[in-house]
Amino acid sequence: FNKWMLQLRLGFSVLVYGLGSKKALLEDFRVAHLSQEIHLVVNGFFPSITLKAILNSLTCEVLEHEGSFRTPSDQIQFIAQTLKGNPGLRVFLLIHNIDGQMLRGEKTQSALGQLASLPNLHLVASIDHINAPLVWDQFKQSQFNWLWWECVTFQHYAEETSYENSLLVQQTGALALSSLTHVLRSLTPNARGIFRLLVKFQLENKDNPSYTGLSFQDFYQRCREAFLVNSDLTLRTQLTEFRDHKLIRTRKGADGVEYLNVAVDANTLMDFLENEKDE
Amino acid sequence: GCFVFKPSAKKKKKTLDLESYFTDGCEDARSSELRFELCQDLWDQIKTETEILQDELNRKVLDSLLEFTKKCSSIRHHSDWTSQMRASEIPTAALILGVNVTDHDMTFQSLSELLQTSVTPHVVSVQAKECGALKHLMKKVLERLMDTVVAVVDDDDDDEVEEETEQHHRSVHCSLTTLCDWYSKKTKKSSSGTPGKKRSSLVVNEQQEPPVVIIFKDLEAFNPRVLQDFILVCSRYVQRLPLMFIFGIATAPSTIQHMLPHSVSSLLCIELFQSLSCSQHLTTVIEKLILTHSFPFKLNGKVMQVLVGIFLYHDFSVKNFIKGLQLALLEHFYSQPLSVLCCRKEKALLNLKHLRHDDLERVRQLPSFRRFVEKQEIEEQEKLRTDDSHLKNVCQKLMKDLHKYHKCYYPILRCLHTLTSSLPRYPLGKQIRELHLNCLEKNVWEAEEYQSAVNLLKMLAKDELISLLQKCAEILQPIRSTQMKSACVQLEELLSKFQQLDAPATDQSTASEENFTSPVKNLPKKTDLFQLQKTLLESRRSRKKSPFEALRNEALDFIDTLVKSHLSPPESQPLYEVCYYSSSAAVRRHLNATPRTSIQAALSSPYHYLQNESLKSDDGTVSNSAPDICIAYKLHLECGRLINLYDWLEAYSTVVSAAEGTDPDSDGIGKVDEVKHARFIRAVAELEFLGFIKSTKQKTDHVARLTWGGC
Repeated sequence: FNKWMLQLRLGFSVLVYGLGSKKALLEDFRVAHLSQEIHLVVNGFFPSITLKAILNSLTCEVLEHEGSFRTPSDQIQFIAQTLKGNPGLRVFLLIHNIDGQMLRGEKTQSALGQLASLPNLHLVASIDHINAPLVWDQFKQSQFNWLWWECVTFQHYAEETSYENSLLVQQTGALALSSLTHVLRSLTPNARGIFRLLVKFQLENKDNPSYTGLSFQDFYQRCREAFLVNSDLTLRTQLTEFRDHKLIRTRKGADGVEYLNVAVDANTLMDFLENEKDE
Repeated sequence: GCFVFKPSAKKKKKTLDLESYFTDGCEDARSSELRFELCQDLWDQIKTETEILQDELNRKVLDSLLEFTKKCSSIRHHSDWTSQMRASEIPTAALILGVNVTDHDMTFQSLSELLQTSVTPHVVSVQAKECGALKHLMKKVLERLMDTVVAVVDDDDDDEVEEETEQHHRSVHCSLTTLCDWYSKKTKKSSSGTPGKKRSSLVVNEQQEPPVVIIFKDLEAFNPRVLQDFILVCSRYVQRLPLMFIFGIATAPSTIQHMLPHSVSSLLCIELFQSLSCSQHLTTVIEKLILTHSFPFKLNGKVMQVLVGIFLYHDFSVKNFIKGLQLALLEHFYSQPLSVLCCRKEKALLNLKHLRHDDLERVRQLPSFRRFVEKQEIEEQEKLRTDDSHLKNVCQKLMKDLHKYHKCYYPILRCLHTLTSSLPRYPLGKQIRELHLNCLEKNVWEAEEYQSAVNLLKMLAKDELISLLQKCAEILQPIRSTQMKSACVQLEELLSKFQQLDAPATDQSTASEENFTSPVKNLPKKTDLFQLQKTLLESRRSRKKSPFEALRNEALDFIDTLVKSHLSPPESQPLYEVCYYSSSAAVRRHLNATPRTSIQAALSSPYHYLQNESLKSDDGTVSNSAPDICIAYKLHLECGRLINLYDWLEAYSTVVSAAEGTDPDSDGIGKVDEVKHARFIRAVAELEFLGFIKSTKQKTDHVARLTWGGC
């Protein structure tokens, strides 16, 4: 770490690569060495991070400048001028995953490069993606002035992947049980009853290969009998809400009638019903 | 996702300064301070020298550019007929720079400074990324023009009020018309003479109407539409506004034709300027920085090779080469405690006196010093091992020798270079750096290339050889005079030889015709008989050797011995570690890393990093106690382009359950399976995060591989 500090002060930027999460490592570095300095931590894996947020936090909080800028380039110029006029001020910028989803853009990287080329702003970053170096062309590389350090930690990417919608869930389009219960908890009792009706019907017919779903008319009848709805319209709005939450799927049958399906696999539905009973 | 930490005011101690980071890692504070100072000094030296070099190298191009601008601005007012003819033409200088984009900044910097001091105060440079649209380009140009002028003119030319208004130009008002008005106002204001006097004399005109120079730093990156529009607009105003463009082109002049249609490029009056090629540039940098004895820090052959390799095969950028040099310097001073001796001779001897016991122990540990000790007498060995003061004395001598060695090495290297660089097929390399590398790696005279070079030299014609030798003499002459006290007496010998050589050469030119008829008579007295006899015996041909050939051989032999005595690689010198930085692997790792290789190595053979004995396995097999992600990765390598997730999961759980040693059919399988499933999902998510796979819509429950190989 001492070496890092030395290299940073001499105008290099430290870049950490390797397998495993480097977050803890950088955090250690931060606690050990940067506690005395002004520094900024950016989580590149955070899916809603933008360049604007980084620059704004730089200008507002670090430089304590009120006011907005029209374009990021103006902002960068302002930062550069302030730092040039203030050589004693040193800012350390820690970027976890500089190759993150939101920071991959060419504009963002060139802005960061401009920042990194400032003499009293020091950059420490980590990369994970195997093709991360493709982001930088020669000019940016020279701006960043990277020194590469290999750090293979084998730590799990807990925080980084928590934002990644795991493809196992996405792929099947299946909703996890937890999300299902969360959605239904926020609904009225009647709506929950409607959904439960539909689920029961689907589970009864789950071994029937020719089953295409429940037609809307049938479903309306059943709901009327269970005193869950009082008109065609209310049921339709209710179903629209379900559809928006991707809980049900409608399909036009061969006879032009709408068939309703719950878009969750049977096991999850079983679990769901059991949970409901427990409550 | 963005968090600012500010040190609280209470905890604000004195922040550590740069030096303390340097010294933190070492136990001996005083010597490290010294070393740090040395390091800083050397680095500053490198920096200043390279900047000076840059300026020198660019001098020619820049001067020609200056000429061009002056000429253009004067032509405008010179004769009204030509100016009317070329009314709407903008003079343009196309500067062909190399592909090393990283070095261009300095060039442009010095260019704009030069222009500002000598020709015109109005210089703007724009970069492509600032100008996505015409509006931005205009705005940038105007803002900078006004700003530069305001910045440059600190005299009484500008009213305070004016400055205010200029700086608060809103982009809405930014049009060329305002620029024209502003410009005419400025020139009028600064004009000292009356308006009637205008256009009378050239000098006044130049003062009054300096051209407005716009530098496009990277022409290739500009949007062609924007550029075309800008040029069109500017050409309309060229009457009222003396504009000039300078294009920085990285590739070739044909790009102008590619980017601009004929209608636009006809508005430009283009003149080409060629800048220096980067390999020449590098050669001069290496000559000045590395191949001098005045600069104490040296690189060994491997490190040089890494740096030059990066230069030649990757980026052609001198700036990056300097950066590598800086890194090597830093590492050397950081890691090697004896680097305190890496400085000028007097200072090194001084530092040597202050060495402590443990430092001297380190000296004894040095492999080169050990070799030196083993050659000594027994008593001497004992003394060196135990007696510190004696060791210091010996070290002094050794350091002096090292400096002497450097002093002799480089001139001789240059000599050899002049001799061999003109040979056909360049057996020893064309550039001096190649020769230097050759010499650093091994004994150069053992190499085949050197042998072939010598054989070629033996076949040289007379006048060629003489001219070459004269060149060598010229190289050695100034060095002999500039060096305070050159330890090489041999230089003088060599020089005298050369002088002699010229004299008989003239004699022989007349004598050579008679050589066939009267062999021995016409020999000049200077070559002794013995030498001649030897050559006669040697020659198996019927034709007798001219004495010139004998001399030639002699000279070559002499050079040969010279090479052998002085060009031995530095490893042969004791205490060479002090000045030579030799960890090429570290430099390569930090400058030219390969993250992908490292990730793949970690995934395929985790044993390499984790040092866990149980992980040791042959290549291509999966040890089942490896981390989850490694198992998942291995299994994904065994598939084709599309991977079925379910099969993948099955395979994974098989491996993992085998690792846990549980029978797959035992109870609790459900529970374990859930945990396994979660672990698998995590591993797959990590793989996706690393970019090995991506979800695909082609088939359900499949992922697509993004990498090749495996199977």
